[in-house]
Parts: sequence; C-alpha cells; structure tokens
Amino acid sequence: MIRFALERIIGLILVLFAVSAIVFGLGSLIPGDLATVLVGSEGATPEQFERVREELGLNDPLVVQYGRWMGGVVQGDFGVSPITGRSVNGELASQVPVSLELTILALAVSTLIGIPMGILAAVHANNAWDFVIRAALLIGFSVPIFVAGILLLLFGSKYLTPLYAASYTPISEGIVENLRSMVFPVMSIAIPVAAMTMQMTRTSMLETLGQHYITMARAKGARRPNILYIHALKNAMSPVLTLLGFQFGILLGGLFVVEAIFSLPGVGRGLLVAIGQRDYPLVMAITMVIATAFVVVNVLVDLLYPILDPRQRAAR
Amino acid sequence: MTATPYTYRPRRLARLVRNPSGLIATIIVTLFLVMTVAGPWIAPYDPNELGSGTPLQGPSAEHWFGTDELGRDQLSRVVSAARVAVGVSVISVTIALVVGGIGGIAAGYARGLTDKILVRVMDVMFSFPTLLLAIVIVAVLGPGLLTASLAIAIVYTPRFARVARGAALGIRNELYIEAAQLAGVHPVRIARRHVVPNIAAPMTVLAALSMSTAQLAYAALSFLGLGTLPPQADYGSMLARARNFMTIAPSMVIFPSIALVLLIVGFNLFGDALRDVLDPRAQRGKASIQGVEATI
Repeated sequence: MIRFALERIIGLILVLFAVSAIVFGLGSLIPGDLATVLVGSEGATPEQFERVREELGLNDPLVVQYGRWMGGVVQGDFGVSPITGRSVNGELASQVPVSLELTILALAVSTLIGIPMGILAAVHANNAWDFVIRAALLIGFSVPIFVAGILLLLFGSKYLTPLYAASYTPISEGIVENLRSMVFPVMSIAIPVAAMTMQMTRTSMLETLGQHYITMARAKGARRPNILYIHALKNAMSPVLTLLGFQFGILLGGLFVVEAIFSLPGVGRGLLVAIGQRDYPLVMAITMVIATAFVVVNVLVDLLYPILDPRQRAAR
Repeated sequence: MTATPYTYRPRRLARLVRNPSGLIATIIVTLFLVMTVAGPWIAPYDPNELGSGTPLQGPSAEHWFGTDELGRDQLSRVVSAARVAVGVSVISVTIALVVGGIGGIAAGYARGLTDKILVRVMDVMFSFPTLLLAIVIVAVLGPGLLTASLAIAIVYTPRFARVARGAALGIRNELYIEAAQLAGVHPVRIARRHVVPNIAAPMTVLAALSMSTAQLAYAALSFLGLGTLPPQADYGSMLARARNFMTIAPSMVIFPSIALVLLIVGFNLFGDALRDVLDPRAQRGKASIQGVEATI
C-alpha cells in the first residue's frame, strides 16, 4: 500500500514536470512577443525593443527561460505580470478562492442531488418512472453549461429574484450575499456533474442489487430500506468515487463559461482576460494551477480508493 | 434455447431505427444533416444580411424565430449554424479517430519503446481538463473554425489512442495473428487486415459518443469567442451576443439554445443506439468508468 502510494506520488511529480514544460512551451508559442505588447507598435525604435527584450530575458535560449520560470514556480513564485506590474501570486490569491468556492459548492450540490436521484432511479429502474429518469439524464448530459447559465440568468433574474445577485460579493463582505451570488453559477455547473453521479449511482446500484448477498439478505427477511441503504449502497459507492477525478475536470472546464456569464472574478475569467492581454506569466500560472489541481485530485482519488474499498487493496 | 436462424436477424441499420430512441436520434441527426447540406436553400433569408427585418423582434410570420440586434433573420442563422456545428464535430472526431487509432494500434501491436512513449504522452495529455487544453491551444493557433476543430481533435486523440491500444493489446497474441506473422506478412498489412476490423466496433462507438461531447466543447469555445469568426452564425457565439439583449429579445436566447441542445441530444441518442447495435456485450447497465467517460 505504501509502495503503491509512493509510486503514485513520484509519478505525479514527473507528470507535473512534463505538464509545466507543455504549459511553458504553449505559453511561449502564443503569437505576439511580450516586448511588442509592452513597447507598443507605433513609434518604438529597434533599440527600445532590444532593451525591453534584454530586460525581460527574452533573448536567452528557451531552455534557460524555462529554467528561470520553473525555478520560481517550484518555490511558489510565478513572477510579475509585465502588463499590470503586479505580482502574479497576488492575482492568483484573489482569483483562486473564488473558483475554489465555486468548484467545492458545485461538487457538493451535484453529489447531494446525484446520489439520492441515482438510488431512486435504480429502485424505479423497470417501471413507468424509468422513462422520466432517462429523459432527465439525457437532458443533464446534453445541455451545455453556458446554455444552462444563460437560461438561469434569463428566467431566474425575473422569477427567482431572492436567489439572484447581479454581481459578485466576496465572503469577507457577508456570507449570505456571497452565497447568493453563487447560487446560479453553482447550479449551472452542477447539472452535468449531477447527471454523471446519478447515472453512475444508478448503474452501480443495479449491479449491486443483482448480487447473491442481496438475495441472501432478502431471503433472511431483512427490511427493504436496510437492504438498500446498508447492504447495497456501501458497496455501490466505489465506482461513483472513481468518477470524482473525472468530474473535477468538468467542473474546472465549467469555470470558464460560468465565470464569464456571471462575471465572477475567478481563474476561468482570469485566464481568458490574460490571454486577451497577452499576459503570458499570468496565462502560464493559471494553466499550471488548474492542471496541478486536476492531477493532484486524480492521484488523491486513486489513493483514497483502496482505503475506502478494501476489495481494491488485494489487487494492488 | 434454440438458435436463431441467421436470416431472421434484422439488418443492423434496421435495428438502429427499430428502438424508439434510435428512431428519434436518426430523425434529429437527419434533420441537422439536411440543414448542413441544403442550408442555403432552406433558409428563408441570407443569414448574414443586415436588416432583413426590424431588429430585436420576437417570432412572427415573416421571421419565425425573430430577428437579432442587427435585424438578421434568426431562423436563417440557426439553419446556417448547423453546418458549422456538424462540421466541427465530424472533422475533429475524424482527425482524433484516425490519428489516435493509428497511434494506438502501433503502440499496442509493436509494444516496446513506441508503446512506452505513447503511454507517457497520453498520461500528460490527460492531466489537462479538456476545455483548458483546448482554450490554450486555440490561444496559440488563433481563433477560428479550423483551429478550434484542430484543438478539439488534439484533446480527443488520446481517448481514441487508449481504446485502440487496449484492443490491439488484447488481440496481438491471438493465433491468427501469429500465423500471419509466421507466414511473413508485413506488419502494416497485419494491422490493416486483422487488427483494424477487430477494433472497428469499439472505435465507431467511441466516435459516435464523442460527437456530442466534441460539440459541447466546441460550443463552449465558440461562446468564449474562440470559434468561428463573425459574421458566420454559430450557436455558441450567437448565444454570447444574445446575452446582451436577452431581456428585450428572449427569442435570441431561446431558439439557438433549443437547436444546440437538440443537436447534442441527437448525437447522444445516436451514440447510445449505435453502441447497442455494434457492441451488445457492453451493456448499458455496466458500471464502468469507460462508459461514463465516453459520454462526457
């Protein structure tokens, strides 16, 4: 078990290095030289360009530039944004909490909706409800997050006014107002994720309910709720857990559209603004932070899996 | 149990249409294909013509879906956008299928260093959330229809490579492959004659299921202004603009939304139906991450 954990963690570090190289490579491939952006195209002499390039270290070989950037990143320093003149760490410190809150709330909401609905769907797998359940799942998988967001904005701002906030309020200025500004964004992202949880819970429950020990429990006269929630649910949950890493990717992708629609100052909107301004250090930093979060969560899920499900330990 | 005579088995295409959701899927997909091919002849107005009607009107007899902020006919734009939407899904999934398929077969069949390198590259590509990688690639290549399709193709390639590799690994030790090798058949020919037909079914199913998720990803890119360039109509960018006018003209939001959701529903149902026909062993009830992954 410890050996497995060590292997995964070493693998994680190697993957993160490769990811950083790709992020840096893509970042330096984005068209438009930083010096051009800074000096501006009109009226600048070649000497001015050269001086700025020299100051920024853009004349060094790419490997040296990568080494310099990575040296900072390893120490948790993403450098200074040449566009705003502020430290990238400062930008991240203001953006990450917003997106983190959004992600955690969306994950919580989708789990709280998805698992009970999945159980319900498994119980009603072969009756008239089945059609409704399948239709709900299909809609959940087929409505793009931004369509859900816009429709919520369109109808919610009219008919659900108590839940609607026109702008973002930080937690420090009141938790209730902050949560109010999160309701619609969280709902938009939670829909597809809840559909995934629901589908996985449904199929996993159905599979578990077909096992012999369930028939045994029924034969010995165990009560139905006990069979469902004690015997079956515990065993049915581990495939749902493996889904978590995947769902995290959807949640992170959802940040881009949802933060754009609801004007939330998180990393999703931050990345798009940074790309628009050609603020490379910020682009690289945000990409790196999101990819790191994604990889780390996936490794954590892998490590958590054998801890929560003893059947997985023997296999490892 | 009696064996069913082969002749009584319905043809595969007929089986696709026989179940109700397969039928609905076929109808929706056909509708969009007709709009893709015959769009310019169906659309009542030129989709890019300014002032076809009074701006920001709701549905009327002249403009069934209303008009946008520049007085363009919304129905014509919804029809015109179908070509972009279907085109992107087909192009990006085809590229991913071909590149991922060849890479996966090569790695799974050859093993050794090729395989190790491919697996590492896939690991790294899987470390990025889909949309993040697509956004950064478009930022490098510049926005546009082709670059966005290419970005989605790149992001989707590893999934196809993984399925192809797994399938190729599964059959590389079969006797008929060994026999072909002993007979001195060229590896490329073995791959074409024996490996490809064996992995065709799972790859087709994955491709069909990927159509909907590719469309979801592209619509998001387009919504963020990274898709087709104006004035070409496109569901994502239409909705992004409609956001500014939605309180005055809700029809600008509603009709493109319905079209986009309908297309994705069609792709989803079509993929499911195709899986039931081509891959009966992969039951829909089976709880596997592979199955869910394909639907994302």
